[in-house]
Amino acid sequence: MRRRKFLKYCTSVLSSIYAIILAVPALGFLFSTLKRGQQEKETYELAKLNDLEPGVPQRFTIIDRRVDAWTKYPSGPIGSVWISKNEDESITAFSSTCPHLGCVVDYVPGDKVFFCPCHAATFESNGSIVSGPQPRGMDELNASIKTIRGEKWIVVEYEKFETGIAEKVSIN
Amino acid sequence: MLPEKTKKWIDERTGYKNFLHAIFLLNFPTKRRSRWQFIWGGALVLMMLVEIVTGTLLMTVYSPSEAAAWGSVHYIETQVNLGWFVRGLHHYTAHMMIVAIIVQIFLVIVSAGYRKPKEFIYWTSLLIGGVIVGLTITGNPLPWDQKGYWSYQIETGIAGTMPGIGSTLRSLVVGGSEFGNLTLTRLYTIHVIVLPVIAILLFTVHMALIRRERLRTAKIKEAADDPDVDFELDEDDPLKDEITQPYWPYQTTRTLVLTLFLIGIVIIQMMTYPTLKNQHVDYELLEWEADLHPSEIKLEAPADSALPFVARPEWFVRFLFELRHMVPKDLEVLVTAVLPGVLLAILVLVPFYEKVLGEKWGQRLAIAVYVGGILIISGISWYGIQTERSAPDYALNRSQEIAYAARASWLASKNGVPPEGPASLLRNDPKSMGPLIFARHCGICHTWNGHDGTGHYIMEMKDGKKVKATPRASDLAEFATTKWIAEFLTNPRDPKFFGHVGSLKGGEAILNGEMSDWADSYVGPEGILSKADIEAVSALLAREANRRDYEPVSEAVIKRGISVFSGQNFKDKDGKVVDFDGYCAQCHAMKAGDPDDEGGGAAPDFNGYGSAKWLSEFIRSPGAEKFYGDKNIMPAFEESKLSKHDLNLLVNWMRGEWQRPKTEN
Repeated sequence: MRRRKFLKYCTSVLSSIYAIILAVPALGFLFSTLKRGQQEKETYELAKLNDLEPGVPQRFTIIDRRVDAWTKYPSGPIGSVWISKNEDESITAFSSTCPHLGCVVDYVPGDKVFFCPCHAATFESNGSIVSGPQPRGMDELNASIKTIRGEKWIVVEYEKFETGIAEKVSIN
Repeated sequence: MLPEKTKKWIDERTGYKNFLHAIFLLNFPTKRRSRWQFIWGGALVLMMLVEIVTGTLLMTVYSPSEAAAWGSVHYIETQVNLGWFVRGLHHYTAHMMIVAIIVQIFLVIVSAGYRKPKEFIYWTSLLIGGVIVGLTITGNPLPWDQKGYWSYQIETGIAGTMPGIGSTLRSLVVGGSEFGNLTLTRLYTIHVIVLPVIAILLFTVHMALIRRERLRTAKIKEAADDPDVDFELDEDDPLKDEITQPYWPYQTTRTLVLTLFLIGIVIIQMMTYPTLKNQHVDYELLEWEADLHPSEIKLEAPADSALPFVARPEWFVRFLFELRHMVPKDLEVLVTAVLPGVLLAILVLVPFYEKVLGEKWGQRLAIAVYVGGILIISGISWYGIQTERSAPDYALNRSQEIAYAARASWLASKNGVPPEGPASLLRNDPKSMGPLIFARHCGICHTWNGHDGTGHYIMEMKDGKKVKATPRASDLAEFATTKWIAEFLTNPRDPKFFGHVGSLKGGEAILNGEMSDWADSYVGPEGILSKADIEAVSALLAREANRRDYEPVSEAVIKRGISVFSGQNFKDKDGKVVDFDGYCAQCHAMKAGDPDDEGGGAAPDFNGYGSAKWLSEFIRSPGAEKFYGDKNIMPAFEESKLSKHDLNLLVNWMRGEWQRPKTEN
C-alpha cells in the first residue's frame, strides 16, 4: 500500500507540472493584450481660430494613423472633439465621447446643450451635467492657441478617458 | 480539497465518484513485464490536450485572411507575452504526436493488439493517427508564410493528381482553384472544428472499445481466480500472465512521466531549434545580407507567388514528394494516389495476416512490413533532403529566402503591417525587389558584381555545355561611386565597363570611341592626368549622384576636379598651370564642373549624374539627345516594359537607398 501512496503522490506532482506548463503561458498569453489600445497623448492642430463662430460648438474629427494590433493604418478617424470659442476668444474643447457609456455626444443648437442620444445624457454648453445617467460632466481636453505662419490655430491635446465612473481617469 | 460533506452532497446529485471510478479505477490488465508500453496512448491524449489548450489560445489572436494571417502570427511571436512559447508548443507538440503515433502503432503490432477481439481498437487508432496527420497538414499553412503556402501547394497538388476525384478534392480543400482568402478560412475551419470533432468522436469510440475489452479480460481473470467458480484458464493462455491493477495511480504516473518527457523534448527543441535550423547554410551569401540573425526569424517571408521560394512538403509526406520526382511522368499517379492507398491497405489489413500465415508468422510479417516500411520511407526522405542540400544553388537560394524572411520580419516590427497585407512589405522594398527586377530586365546584358543581381549567373550553351555567359555591358555594382568612376576613367576598355560592348551591333563605336581614345591620351603613365586628378574628377561626379555611401571630400579636391572637368586653371604634376585639351566639358555638360557651360554636348549630360532622377530618365530613354543620342545601343525601358513602381525600386536599389536599421546610419 505504501507503493500505491507513493504513486498517488507522484501523479499529483507530475500532473501539477503538466498543468503549470500549460497554465503559465496561457495566463501570460491572455493577459498580454490588456494594454492594447492605449495611446500616447498627442496634439492636433484642428482649426483656424477665425473660422469658428463664438458660442457655437463645432465638432472636429481627429485623423491620425492607428495601430490595430499588427496592422498599421496610415490615417483614419480615431475620435472627435467639440470645440467652442467663447466671447473672450478663449477656447474650450470637449471630448465627444460620452462619459456615461462612450457614445458620441451631439450638440443641439436650439437648446444650446450637448445631448447624448444613447441614454439621453444632457450637458450644458460648458460641459456640466443637466440631466441623465452620466456620472460626470463632459471631459474637457487641453486646448491652446498656436500661431502658425501668421495664423492662429486651435491646438487640442487629445486623449481618451475611462467611462462610467465619476472620476476623470485617462486611459494610459 | 473539498470537505467530505460537500463531496457527499455533490456526489448524491451527480454520481461523480462512480464516474471517476469507472474511468480511473477500472482494473487494467497489464502484462507485468511490459507495463511501460501501454502508456503511449495516454501520452497522446495528454498531448492532444496540450494542442487543444494552446490552439484555443492562438485562436484568440490569429486571424485567417490573406492580409492578416502572417501579421497576426508575427504579432503572436513578437508582441504577445510568451506567444512564442504557446505557438512553439502547439507546433512542435503536433510533430511529436506523429512520432508518438508511429511508436504506438509499432507497440500495438508487437504486442498483437490487433488480434481478436481488438481489431476495431486497432483500426480506430489508425484513423485517429490519420486525423492527426490531417491536422498537421492543415495547420502548417495557416501562418500564410512562404513555407506553409508552398508546402500546401505541393500537398494539394498531390491530392489533385488522384484519378477521378482529384481535382474536385483539391478545389474542396483549397476553396476554388486558386489560393487566397477562401483557402485560409477553409483551412481554418477544417483545422479548428472539423478534424478536432472527428478526432474526439473517434477517440470516444476507441475508448469505449478499450473499456469493453478490459472489462471482459478483468471478468475472465476474476472468474479464473475465484475458487467458487468452475473455470480455469489454459496453461498457455496469455491472460494467465496478466495482473490487474487500477489505472489510477499505477498507469497515470507512468503516462505522466512519458508525457512530460516528450513535452520536455518539445520545449528543448523550441529553445534550440531556431538557432540551429539554418546552421547548414551560409546565410549571408553575396548581396543577401539578412537584417536579423536567422535565429531571430520567427516566420518565413509572407506568402507571395512572385518571390522565389523552393517548395518543400512536411517531413512525413516528403517521401511521396521525392518519389514523384523519381518515377517517369506517366507513372506519377501510381506514386501519389495508388502508393498511399497500398500503404494504408497494408496497415489496415494487419489483423488478417494471421488468418493466412498463422499467429506467429502473421505477426512477424506485420512487424517486418511496418519496420521495413518506415526504414524505406525515412531513407527516401533522408536521400531527398541530402540531394536538395547538395544542389549547386541550394545555399544561394536558401540565403535569399532567409534574407527575405528576415527583411519582412524586420520591416513588420519597424513599420507595422500595412492594411493591404504583409506581401507589400517586400513588394515595396528596394532591397528585396531590386535584385529581382535587375535580373529580369538588366541582367541579360549588365552584371552586378559579376552576377545578375540575385547571385545567379547568366548561363549559355557553348559546345553543348552550360557555361557562364559573357556579359555584354558594364558591371553596375557601386555605379556612380568615386571608386567606380575612377576605375572607368582609368580604363574604359576594361571588361567591367565597355570591354564587351564590341560584340553588339554599334558597340564598336563605343568600345573604341572617344572616351577610350581620351583615356589612351590623357591617363596612364604617359598621360598628363595624375591618379589624384582622376580621383578628384570622380569625386566631383560622385557628388552629383550623392549616394548614401558618398564621403564628402575637401574643397581643394573639388576644385581640382572642376579644373579637370572644365580645363580651366589646370595644374600639372609639378603644380604649374598648363593648357589641358582633354577636359570633360568638351563633350559632357555639368553645371557643377563648368559653371559657364550652357549644357548639351556630344556625350551624356552629367547634371545630376547617377541621381535617382538621372538614372530613371536614362533607363526610360538612353537614346535621348542628352544621353547617348544616336550612339545609343541600350534598349529603352518605357512604362510598358518597366512600370514606374518597379523603376523606382530598381533605381533606389542600385543607389543603395532602402530603409536600414538605425545603427548603420
